[in-house]
Amino acid sequence: MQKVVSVARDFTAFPSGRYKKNGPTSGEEFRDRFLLAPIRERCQIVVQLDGTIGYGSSFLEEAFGGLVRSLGPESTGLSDNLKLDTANEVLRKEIMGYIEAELRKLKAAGTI
Amino acid sequence: MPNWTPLEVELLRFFGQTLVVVLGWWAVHSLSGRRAKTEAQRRLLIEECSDLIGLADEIFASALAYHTNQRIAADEQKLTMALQDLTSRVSLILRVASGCDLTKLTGAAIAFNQACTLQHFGEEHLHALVPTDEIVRALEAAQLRVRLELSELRFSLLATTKLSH
Repeated sequence: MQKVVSVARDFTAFPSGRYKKNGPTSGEEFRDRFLLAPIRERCQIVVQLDGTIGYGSSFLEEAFGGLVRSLGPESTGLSDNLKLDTANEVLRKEIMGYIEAELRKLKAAGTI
Repeated sequence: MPNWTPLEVELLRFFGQTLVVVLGWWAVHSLSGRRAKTEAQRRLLIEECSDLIGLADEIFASALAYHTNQRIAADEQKLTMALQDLTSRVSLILRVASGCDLTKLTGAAIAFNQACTLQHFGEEHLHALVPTDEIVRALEAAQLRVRLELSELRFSLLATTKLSH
């Protein structure tokens, strides 16, 4: 099953902040509302990133790097199930960097 | 060999020569058209690199002011938008300048975005940073790196551009 989430349409056009305590448009809020459950259910999720005013790195790190931290051992297969849809290749690479960095930490710790 | 009249031979020669001329013209025209397109694309990229260096300088000035002063939430949105503009335009360069190795430029753009907005941004901005703070130093280094990569691309394109008089 495939789910499509548009950040601008389904969440906010003004993403900002890292943690929920920073406000309702934070990376943590986005991760918990839209990413965690579908990935845990092994659904393929397509995240449409275009259409917002932009993303602070703190938002991205918490949403996507934090996704790996939250999933822990369940992160295996994440790269197959998470698709990033954007015309901004730099943005896509930045997000992949956060995911890969966290996966490397899990591997180094022997978690996956 | 068919028994052709002199008129037919003359006509055949005429059409043969015309065909050679037309094919020659088409080949030269398409080659020079392709060359002109590549040249125009290269000039556009050089201009874009110069514009992006200017944009990186503006973002750096805004980010420096943001991090070294009391938090102004409205500036965060402006900074995010400007960085989005920068990274989108770098992405367009990646698409157009397919012959160049732009791995370093991509890395520099990401590092610049991170230096501006990964730490001490939004609610994490509790107090103004001193100019010697590590975050400020990292911001300066990231700006220099993105400038350097854009300049390198600009000069490598300039080196292969025909000089017009």
